[in-house]
Amino acid sequence: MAQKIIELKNVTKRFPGVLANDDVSLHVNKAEIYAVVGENGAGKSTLMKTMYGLHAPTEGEVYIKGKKVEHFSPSTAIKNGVGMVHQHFMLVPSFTIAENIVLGSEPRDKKIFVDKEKANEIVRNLSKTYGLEVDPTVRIEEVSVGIQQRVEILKTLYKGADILILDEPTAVLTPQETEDLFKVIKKLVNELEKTVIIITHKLNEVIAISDRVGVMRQGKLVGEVKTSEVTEKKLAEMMVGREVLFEELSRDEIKGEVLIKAENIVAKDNRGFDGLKGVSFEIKAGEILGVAGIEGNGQTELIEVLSGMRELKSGNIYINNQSTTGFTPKKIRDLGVAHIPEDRLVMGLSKESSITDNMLMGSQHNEKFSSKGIHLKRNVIVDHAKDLIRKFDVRTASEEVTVGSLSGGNMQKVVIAREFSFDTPILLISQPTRGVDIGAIEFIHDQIIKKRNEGCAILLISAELDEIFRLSDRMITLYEGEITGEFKNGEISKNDIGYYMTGNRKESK
Amino acid sequence: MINIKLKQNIEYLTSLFLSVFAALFIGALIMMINGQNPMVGYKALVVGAFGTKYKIATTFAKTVPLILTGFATAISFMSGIFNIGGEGQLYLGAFAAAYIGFTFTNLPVFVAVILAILASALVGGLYAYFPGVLKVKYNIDEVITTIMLNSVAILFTTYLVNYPFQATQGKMGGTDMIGLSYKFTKLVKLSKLNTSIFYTAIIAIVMYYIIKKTSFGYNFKMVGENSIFSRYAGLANKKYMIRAMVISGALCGIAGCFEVYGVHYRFLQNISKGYAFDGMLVALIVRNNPLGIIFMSLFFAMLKTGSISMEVATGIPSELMLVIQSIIILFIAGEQGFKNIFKKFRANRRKLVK
Amino acid sequence: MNKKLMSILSMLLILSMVFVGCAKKEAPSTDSTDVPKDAKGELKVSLVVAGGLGDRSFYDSSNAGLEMAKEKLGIEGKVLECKNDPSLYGDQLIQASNISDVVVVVGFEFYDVIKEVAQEFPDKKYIYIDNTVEGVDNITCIDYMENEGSFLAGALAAMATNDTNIKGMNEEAKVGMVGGMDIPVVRNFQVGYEAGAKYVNPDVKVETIFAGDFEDPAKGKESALALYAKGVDIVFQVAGKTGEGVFEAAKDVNQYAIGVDTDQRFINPDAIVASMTKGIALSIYESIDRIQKGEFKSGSIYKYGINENGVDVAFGTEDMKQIVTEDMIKKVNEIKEKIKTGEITVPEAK
Repeated sequence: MAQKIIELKNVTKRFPGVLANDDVSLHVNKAEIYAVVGENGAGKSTLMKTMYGLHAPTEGEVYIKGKKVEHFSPSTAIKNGVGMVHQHFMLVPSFTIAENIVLGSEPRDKKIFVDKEKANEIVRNLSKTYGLEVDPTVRIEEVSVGIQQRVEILKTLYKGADILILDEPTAVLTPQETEDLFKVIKKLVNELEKTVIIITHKLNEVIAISDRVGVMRQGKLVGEVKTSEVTEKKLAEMMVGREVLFEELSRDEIKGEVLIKAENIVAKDNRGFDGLKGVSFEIKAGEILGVAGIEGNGQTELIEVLSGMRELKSGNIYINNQSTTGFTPKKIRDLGVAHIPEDRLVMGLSKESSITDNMLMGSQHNEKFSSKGIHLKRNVIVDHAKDLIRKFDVRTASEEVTVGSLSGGNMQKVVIAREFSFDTPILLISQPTRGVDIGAIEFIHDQIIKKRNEGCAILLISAELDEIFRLSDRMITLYEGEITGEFKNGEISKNDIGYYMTGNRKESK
Repeated sequence: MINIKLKQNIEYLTSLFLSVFAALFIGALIMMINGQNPMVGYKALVVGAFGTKYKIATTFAKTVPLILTGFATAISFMSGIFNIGGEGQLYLGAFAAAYIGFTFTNLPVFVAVILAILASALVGGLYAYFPGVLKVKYNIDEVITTIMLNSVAILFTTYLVNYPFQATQGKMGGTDMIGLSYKFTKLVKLSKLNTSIFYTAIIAIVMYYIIKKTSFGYNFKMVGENSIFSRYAGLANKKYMIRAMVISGALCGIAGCFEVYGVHYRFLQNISKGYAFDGMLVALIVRNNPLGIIFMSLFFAMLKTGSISMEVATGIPSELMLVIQSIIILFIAGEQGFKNIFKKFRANRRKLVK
Repeated sequence: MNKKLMSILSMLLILSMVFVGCAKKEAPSTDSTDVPKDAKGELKVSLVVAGGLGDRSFYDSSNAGLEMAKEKLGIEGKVLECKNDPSLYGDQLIQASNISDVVVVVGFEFYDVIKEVAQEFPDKKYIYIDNTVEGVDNITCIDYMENEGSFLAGALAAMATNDTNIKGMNEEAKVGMVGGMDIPVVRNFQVGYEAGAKYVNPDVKVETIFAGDFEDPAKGKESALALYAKGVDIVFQVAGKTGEGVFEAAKDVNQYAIGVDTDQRFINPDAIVASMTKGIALSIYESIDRIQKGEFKSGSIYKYGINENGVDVAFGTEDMKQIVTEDMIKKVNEIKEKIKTGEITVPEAK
C-alpha cells in the first residue's frame, strides 16, 4: 500500500577525519510525516543533505520515486521534486514576498521585465491552495520569522516540490507559530499528498506530528519506530543511548537572604520605547526565579539591565544590597554576578577566538592566569580550558578550535562552562538550552540545579515552559514589560500559565 | 587533530603563498605580454634587492617604516578601531623629532635621541588620541576622521617647513638639519641602513610580546573581535580602543622620527610617500600577525628596492610591483573564495582518483 | 568588523589600482633595452627626476634635453624617476652614478642627497638643475631665475585682462595664479608674477591659490575654478602636473591660462595664451655637449635669467592662432629688454 518515495540504501558519508553517516538504510513513504531525531552531531543534517542532493554519499545509493539518483546537485533534487527549508532562511530581505518566491523562475513581461502583478497573483493562488497565508507585496524584512518560514515553504512548493525537508523548523518559532506550522504540515500531507521529512530534537513535537521516527546516534540509524508506539522518554533514551534522568529540586522552604532586588525598574528597548515598565521582584540565595513569557515582552531588557548591559531608566536594582545604578557590567560582575546571555553569538562568545581564549575571558587579569595580571600563563590557561571542556562535556577535537566552528550546543556549553567557573553567588541565565540537544539539556539543567542547591540566587529566563517548570522555585510572567503574575512552582499548570503570558493579570491577594 | 592551531596556520600560509605566487605569476604574464622575459625580470628584481651588500642594506633599510607602521595598523585594527591616519601621525611625529633635533643641538646624544623618540611618540599618539575619543564618545567614524587628519597634518607640516621653520640654507622644502652628532650611525656605506633597525627590532619584539603574551594584547583582540562580548565580560572597551589608537599613533610617530634621524637628517615636506598605507597593506595581508608583518615588510621592501633596479636593467616599469602588490591583496581579500576553489579542486581530484 | 575590514581592503586596493593607472608612462622611449652596453666612447648620461615623466612640463622638458642629446650627440641615456618618493632619491641617484658618467639631476628636492652621493663618486659629473649647492667639485648647478620669467608672464596677464576685445575677458582687472605648493621655488614665481602685473597696471589684483600638490590635476582644476569664479580671467599655473587641471578649468569656463616651464600652448591653444619657459632642455643639451667636447667647467653655479636666455615667454608655434595681440607681444619684448639692461629689477622671493 505505502509507496516508498525516498529510499536510502547503506548510505555512508565520510568527511576528512569524520564518519558522518555510517551505513544508514531507511525509507520514507508517500504522504507521510517522517521525523529524524538525534543529538547535535548525530549526522541528521548530513543525511538530509545527501537526500536533498547537496552532496553525494561516499558509499551507498539513494532512490527517489524509485529512480536511482546519479548526479547529486540541488537542481537534480528540484527536478525530482525534493525541496529543503533550511534552518537559516535564504531570503532577500529587501525583496517582497512574491519576489522572493518567484526568484530564479520569474514570470516575465515581454521576456525582459519581471511581471510583478503576475508574481503577486501566483503567490496569492499558491497561498490559497496550501493554506499558507501571506501578503505577497510586503517586504521580507518587515515580516516575522514565522511568515518568513512560510515564504520558504511556499518557495519550495512553487518550484514543484512534493517532498519537503524541514530542518529544525520550530527552533525559531513561537508556540503559536509552531502550532500554525503543524496545521499546515498536516494539511499538506493529508489533503495534498505531499511528503514531509522533519529534522528536530524537540521530542514533544515529534510525538505531536510525525507518523514515523528515525533516531540517529553517532552517524548510525539506531532505530526506526512508529510514533504511535513510542513515548517521549523512550525516544530520548534511544537518542542518548542510556536512561535519561533529571535531577529533582528539593522543595524545602527557601530561607536565604535576598541577593537580587528589583524595584520598579524601567528600561528602554532597542527602538527607544519602554521595554520594561516598572518591574519589581526579589530573588533569595538558593532560589531560582523563572521568567515565563512570549519572547519580546521585556525579557531581553530585564536581563540586560540587571547585568549592566542596558541603561536603567528609573527604579532601583540592588545586588548584594548594593545599588547598581550607573554600574558598568564589570562592576556588576565584581559584585558576584555571572551572566549567560540569550544570544551566545552576539554577546556570549567571540567566534573567531579559540575555545581557550573564550574560556579565559573575564579571568585574564586573575593572578592565577597571568602574573601581575599582565603576562599570560599559557599553560595554566590551556589546562583550565581543557578542564572545563572535560567537565562540561564540550565536544571538540581540540581546545584550540575556534568557537565559531562548534555546533550551537557546544558553543552554549562553552558559555556556561565559563560563567559557572567564576563561582559567583548570583546567576543571570537566559535561554540556557536554546539550540542544545537533549543530552546536553539534561546536563545543563543539572548544573543549574546544582548551583541552586549550593546557594546561588538564579534568575532564569526561558521561552521553553518545560524548562521554567522543571527548574523554577517561583515564576513570574512577563507581558509587555510588566509582571502579570507570580506563582510558586506547583501552584499553576503549564496550560494555565499561558493565560497570564498573554496579558491577563493575576488579581493581587 | 593534535595540533589544530598548526593546521590552521599551515592552511593560512598555504593560501598566502598561493596568493603571492599567483600575483608573481600574473606579473610574469604582464611581462610576457610586453615582450619581456619574466625570468630575466625577476632575476633582475632579486639581484636588485639582494645583489650587493649595498642593496641588501637598502632593502633592509626600507623595512623600518613598514614594520613600524605595520604594527601600528595591527594594534589598531585588531582592537576594532581603524587608524587610517598613520600618515599624518608619521608626519607630525617626524616634525616633532626634527624640532628637538634642530632646536637643542648641544644635548648629549643619548638624551637628544630619547627625547626625540619620546616627542614623536607623544605627538603621534596624541594626534591619534583625538579621533579615538571622537569615536568612542560620539561615535564619529574614525576611518573618516583619521583620513581627513592626514591631510591636515601633511599640509600643516608643509606650512611649517616653508614658513616658520624653513631651512636657513638651500632650498629643499625642509627644516634645518638636526644636530650632527644626533644622526643615527650608518651601517653600510651609502645605504640608508642605520641603527634605527635595531630600535625597530626592539619595538617589534615588545609589540610581539604585548600582542601575543599579555592580557593587554588579549583584551585588544577581544574588543576587536566582538565588542559586545568584551563589554559583557567586563572589559572597558572604550579605554582599550583609545589605548590601541594611541599606541598606533605613537608607532607611526616613531616611524617618522626614524626617517628624520636615520635617513634625511631633517624634516622634509614630502617625508613619507604613503609609508603608513604600505604598512597597512602589510598588516592586512598577514592579518595583523607580528611575525608576518616582519616578513611581509621585507617582501614589500624587496619589491620596492628590486623594482627600481629591474627597471633600469631590463626596462620593465617598476609600477609592475604595484600591480603585484595589488593582486596579492585581491587574493587575500578573496581568500575565502580562493580556499573554496582550492577545496573543490581537491575534492574533484579525489573523485577522479577513486 | 570583518565587513569593515573588507571594505577598507577593497578601498586600498582600488586606490593602489588608481596609482598604477596614474603612473602609466607617457614617454617610454628611455625604457628601451637595446642600447649597446659596450659601445665604445659613448658618453653615458642618466637623468634622475624627483617626480615622474608625463607632466608635460618640468620633467618632460628635461627629458627633451636628454633626447636631443641622444639624437644629436649620440650619447647613451636613461631616465630614472623617483615619483616624488623621498626614499628613492638616494637610491636612484646612486644607481645612476653606478651606470653612467654624467648624472643630470632635476629637482630641488635632491639638495642633501646629491651632496652626499657626488662626494662618493668623484669621477662622475653631476649637473644639478633647479637648485644650487656649493662646495662640491663635481656638481655643476643650473638654476633659473623664474621670477624674471614670471615677471613677463605677469605683465602679459595684466595686459590681457584689461583687453575686453579678447573673447572671455571681463571688466575686472584681476589675474590669478595656481601654485603647486606654498614653497620657496613657487613663491619666487609668485613674486615675479605679481611684480610684472603691477608693473603694467598698478591697480591689477593678483589672486593666488596653492593647490597643495604637484601631481593632482583635480586639485588644480578646483583651484582654478575658484579663481575664475572670483572674476579672474587669466590664470598662471605653476603646479607641474596639477597644472593640467588649470588648463581644463580654463577650457570649461572659456577663459585663459598661462603655462609654465615649457611651451605648453600645444596642450590647448584655445585656452593657453602663452607659457613662461625655462630653458631646461636646452641647458641640459648644452651641458652634455660641453662635457663631450671637454669644455665643461665642473663645480660652478649658473644662474639663468632673461639675460642668459634661461627663462622666457613663449607663444606657441607659428601655426597657432594668437590670442594675445601683436602689441602685447611687442610690449613683453620691450620689458624683456628693460630687464636685460637693468632698467627693471625683478624682486626675488626669500
